[in-house]
Amino acid sequence: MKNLLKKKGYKAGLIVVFVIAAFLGPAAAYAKAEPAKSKSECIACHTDLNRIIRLSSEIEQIRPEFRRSAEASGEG
Amino acid sequence: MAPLEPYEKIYVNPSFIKTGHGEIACETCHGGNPKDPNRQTAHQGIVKDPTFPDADKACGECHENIASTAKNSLHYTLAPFEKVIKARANKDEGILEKVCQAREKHCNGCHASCGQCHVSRPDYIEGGFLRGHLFQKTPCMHTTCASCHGGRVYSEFTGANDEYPPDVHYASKGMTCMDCHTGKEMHSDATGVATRFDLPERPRCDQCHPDVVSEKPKTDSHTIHRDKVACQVCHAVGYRNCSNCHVGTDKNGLTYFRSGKTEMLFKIGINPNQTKGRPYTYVVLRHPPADPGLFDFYVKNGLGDFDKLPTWKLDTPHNIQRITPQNNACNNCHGNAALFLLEKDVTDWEQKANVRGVVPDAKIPRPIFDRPAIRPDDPSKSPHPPFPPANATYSMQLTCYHTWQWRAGTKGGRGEIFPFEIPLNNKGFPPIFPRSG
Ligand code: HEC
Ligand code: HEC
Ligand code: HEC
Ligand code: HEC
Ligand code: HEC
Ligand code: HEC
Ligand code: HEC
Ligand code: HEC
Repeated sequence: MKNLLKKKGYKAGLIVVFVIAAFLGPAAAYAKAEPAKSKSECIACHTDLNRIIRLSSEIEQIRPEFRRSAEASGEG
Repeated sequence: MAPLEPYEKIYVNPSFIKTGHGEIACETCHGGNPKDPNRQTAHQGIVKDPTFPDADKACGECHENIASTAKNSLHYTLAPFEKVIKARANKDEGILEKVCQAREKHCNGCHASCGQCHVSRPDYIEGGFLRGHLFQKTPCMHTTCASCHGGRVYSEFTGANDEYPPDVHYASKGMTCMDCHTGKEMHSDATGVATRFDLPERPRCDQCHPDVVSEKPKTDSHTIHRDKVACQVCHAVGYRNCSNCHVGTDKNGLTYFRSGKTEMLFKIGINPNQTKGRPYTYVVLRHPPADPGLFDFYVKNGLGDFDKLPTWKLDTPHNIQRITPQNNACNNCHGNAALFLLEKDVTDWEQKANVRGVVPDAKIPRPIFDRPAIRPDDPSKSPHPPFPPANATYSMQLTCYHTWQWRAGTKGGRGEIFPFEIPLNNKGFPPIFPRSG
């Protein structure tokens, strides 16, 4: 009985390890090929000109504080 | 200045990553989650400007001195704004509170942080990177300083006010704001400083022109008028004066201001605040857009003590010339009442506030009879031609980011060079001729 449990646990453990490896595998390979920094999604996105241009219209909505009132007049 | 394209405001130039500042992880300065590929959730808790109100965390580790003094600089605190408005405000507690709220709403946006001078364009002109997030050692005069000082100082300096020539330091030497206003001044601690004219680190004309205050200056006028008449009284020309300013909030919750007419004037007045650093009896005075009804939108009679401070205020116009209409001959000034701020120049309701600045008849210097004009009134003899000659050839070059400079030299002539630095117009190109309307 104990043996069986151990066996089951062993199997479950294997599955868990396999699942983790499936996720880690490609990531680890990626980390090897590129310097550590590339793991930053910030850098990946903000330095990708095409992606940033595609987001243009959304950007304006994210930065509403820069809209100017139409009622302003005269010189400041 | 045309706003940048939306993408230019957030596109980080890949070369930034290789600089000293770019090697620091984004999240160290801005927060957020660098592991999260989802844009929205990755930006949760993001700090747009990690250098305001306090730059200690983002910059202090390496720029300890600058970060510790700059947070008390006038560009950070705008402390004199608060002082002036409080002095003029109605002292009734409920009203004062509303005035302070309105001031915060309208005035606090004008502060400049490290990021606003060295990384981004000021928010005031809708922000965006100066150069793909690269940290700029010297802020660009045409974008950074001009965005906030454009209405008055920068226009005077570059000759953008029709009819009035650019400052000699700009026109003949191509000097920029930073040649006189150093990093040390910009970063200096202004705790306890009453106004921007009292900062110990401010530039002084005689630092660079020691002859003028020497034992025996080469120009007589400098001996005669020393410590009595400010340099700008003889060397500056007309500048903008404003009136009637009102502020409010529109139906979208956006703030606005409305100001009345602007007038180009030149007025010599009595120095309202003689100090050791500014001993002059006579200075240039300007009418800023001060108005008792400034905050009427928010609260009636908010500036109940408006008369406590003058409405004609000390000014140091940035359009210095060697020869000006008023110093070209002694009697262009001596005996010329029109140059001076007289009682009749001040509106009735402002009389009380300006008793100290107004020049009484007895204080207008009397005419002098035995002195000829220094230079005849002939523009061709003017030492600072505002226009390049008709037969000039031009070349253009990119100076600071987004800005072009004209250089004009006469063909086969003496090869004189007239540098004009002009910001791009909204079509992205410099106007064809620098000073043609
Ligand atoms: C040393 C600190 C520092 C680091 C590291 C840093 N930044 Fe910045 N960032 C700033 C400052 C300062 C500003 C200017 C803020 C201002 O003036 O409003 C800024 C501005 C920005 C802006 C413009 C914000 C806006 O709305 O105008 C973006 C986008 C940005 N940074 C992204 C990044 C990214 C992506 C990284 C990593 C590659 C990064 N930053 C690394 C200090 C830093
Ligand atoms: C990890 C240390 C470090 C931090 C943090 C740091 N800096 Fe610097 N900074 C430096 C060094 C070192 C230099 C000078 C060397 C160089 O880059 O050429 C420098 C230079 C500069 C310059 C002059 C640019 C130049 O090219 O010479 C500016 C402006 C500047 N820093 C602003 C800032 C601001 C604003 C912050 C905060 C947002 C900041 N720095 C944070 C290390 C740092
Ligand atoms: C975001 C707006 C903003 C930007 C950008 C800005 N300024 Fe200012 N500056 C102000 C305001 C507002 C004051 C008034 C402070 C006061 O009177 O309390 C001021 C005050 C000053 C003063 C007088 C006080 C002092 O600290 O010396 C000088 C000189 C000056 N600015 C020069 C510059 C220069 C040069 C630049 C460009 C490098 C610049 N400013 C950029 C808003 C700005
Ligand atoms: C040739 C030197 C010189 C240059 C160039 C220069 N300034 Fe000044 N600036 C001065 C002096 C001198 C004062 C007066 C200081 C005092 O007496 O309080 C001053 C005062 C100021 C003040 C405070 C008084 C006011 O009028 O609000 C501001 C703001 C200012 N300068 C901004 C600028 C800007 C912006 C530029 C560039 C467009 C610039 N300056 C270029 C010398 C210069
Ligand atoms: C009003 C504009 C302004 C603000 C705000 C400002 N600076 Fe500067 N900074 C300057 C100017 C002007 C210089 C001088 C540039 C030159 O000499 O070419 C300078 C120079 C520098 C330099 C390089 C030269 C040196 O002295 O080592 C560093 C580093 C620097 N600033 C960091 C900062 C930091 C950090 C902050 C915020 C705590 C800050 N600055 C805020 C205008 C500003
Ligand atoms: C940072 C140094 C600096 C400061 C501060 C400065 N100047 Fe100058 N000034 C110069 C230089 C350099 C020239 C060009 C000298 C030349 O052409 O021989 C110049 C030229 C002039 C000229 C024209 C001289 C001529 O021979 O045509 C006048 C007038 C003048 N300055 C007045 C002033 C006044 C008034 C102030 C204060 C508001 C001032 N300067 C502040 C450096 C400075
Ligand atoms: C009462 C008028 C007056 C005052 C005040 C005045 N100047 Fe002058 N300044 C002149 C005149 C006039 C000239 C031209 C002399 C000539 O071209 O023969 C001149 C010439 C100059 C020149 C060119 C070189 C020289 O020394 O002749 C400089 C630089 C200068 N002034 C700076 C200053 C400074 C700095 C101050 C303030 C400390 C000042 N001036 C105050 C009238 C004045
Ligand atoms: C832009 C105005 C201006 C110009 C130009 C000017 N002065 Fe003056 N002058 C004054 C003022 C103001 C005073 C009063 C100073 C005081 O006593 O406080 C004065 C005072 C004097 C005095 C002292 C005696 C008196 O009448 O009060 C003499 C002498 C004098 N000026 C001579 C000259 C000569 C000579 C010239 C031409 C080379 C000249 N001034 C150019 C404004 C000017």
